Amino acid sequence: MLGFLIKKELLIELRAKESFITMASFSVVMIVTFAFTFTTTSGRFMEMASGLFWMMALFTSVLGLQRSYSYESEFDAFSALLSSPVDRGQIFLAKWFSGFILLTLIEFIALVPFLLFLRIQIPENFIQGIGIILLGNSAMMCLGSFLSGMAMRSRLSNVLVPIILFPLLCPVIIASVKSTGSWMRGFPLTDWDTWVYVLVSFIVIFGLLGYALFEHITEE
Amino acid sequence: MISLEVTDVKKSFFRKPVLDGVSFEIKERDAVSLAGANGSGKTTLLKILSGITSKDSGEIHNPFQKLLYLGHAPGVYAGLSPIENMRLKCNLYGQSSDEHLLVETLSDVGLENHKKKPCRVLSQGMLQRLKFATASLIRWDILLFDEPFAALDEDGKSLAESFFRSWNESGKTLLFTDHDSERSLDLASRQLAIEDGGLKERELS
Repeated sequence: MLGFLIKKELLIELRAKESFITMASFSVVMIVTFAFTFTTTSGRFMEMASGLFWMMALFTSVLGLQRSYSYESEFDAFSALLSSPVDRGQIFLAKWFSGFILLTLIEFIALVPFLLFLRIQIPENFIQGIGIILLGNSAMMCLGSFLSGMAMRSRLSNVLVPIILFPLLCPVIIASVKSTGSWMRGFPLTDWDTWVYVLVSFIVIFGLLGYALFEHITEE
Repeated sequence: MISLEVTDVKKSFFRKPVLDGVSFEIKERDAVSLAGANGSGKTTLLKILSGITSKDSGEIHNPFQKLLYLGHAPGVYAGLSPIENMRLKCNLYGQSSDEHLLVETLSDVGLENHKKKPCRVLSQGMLQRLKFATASLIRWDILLFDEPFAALDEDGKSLAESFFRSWNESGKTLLFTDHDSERSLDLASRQLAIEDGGLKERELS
């Protein structure tokens, strides 16, 4: 059932392409703006790159989260989904995983202009970098899907999600920026693995919370 | 055999009680019409029974029954076509979705020419017909249908009534809201009415 629910989320997005186009264009515009704002050398960009990348990821993820739940409110499809004999924890997991897939896809598209415009050389040990991006995305979309589910019944959900999400995501953003920065500068993993543990712990805690509580937070 | 047993269900919104100790039983093969003025709590009661809305207190017992809820809103994904939405419902209810059967079911409600259009472009009446297609496709024991005749034209109403009659004849259990008392007389075996937060049985005569 989980696979089917993820497929459903991606199919709806594929049809509308609203989130995808909005998120992709937003991230590219942000990168171009950064490139023209900071007139600095490639070396200085390396220091800022991790922060710029995760700032872009944070704002892009909010756009995706808002769209993901607005599909559900239009024609009240969410009530039909809730009344079906599906474990609501799986609905949360499907929202989380599909959001994660979409955000990761956008980031890999945005990575090309990011490296080109900001004149950043790809660091060694590329696999480690991909691992950090996947963990950071997963943590952001996990908490985001949980909070968006909680706020979706509210009239002010579009405003509420960023207001609640940004402060709660601080540990994720700090850990992602720190670990990405350390990786880009070529520090050994043992020097910054604490940040990776922070991300993993966050995913485990909020993943379990979301799975267990989604049934209660989505009730009217 | 009892299909649905509701005992002392209470629900308030902003401290204003909407359902104040509602109790009733529905037996297998009952077709129950739920009446009441606008805002009396009919939709709230159906949403509580289907698990969408939480109750403040009370008990709901629904032994071994597969329940299908069709709400007042279309309850479909606007960007997907009728056929995709029906396939989705089949999967959610653990049924296989044979393409032939889906098309045939859509033809039964007169939507065969709209099967690939996004639901966003369909009229309210067409979306209401789609609910009947869904109800005839999904295997259920109890159907909770909120205002099944809303937005339908005369043809649509006749079609909807024929669906209700066939469900009645096949021994399905139905609970639906309707403001037309004459139609309720015709289609329901019992009528319940919500008044001042309580539920009363009305004589069908």
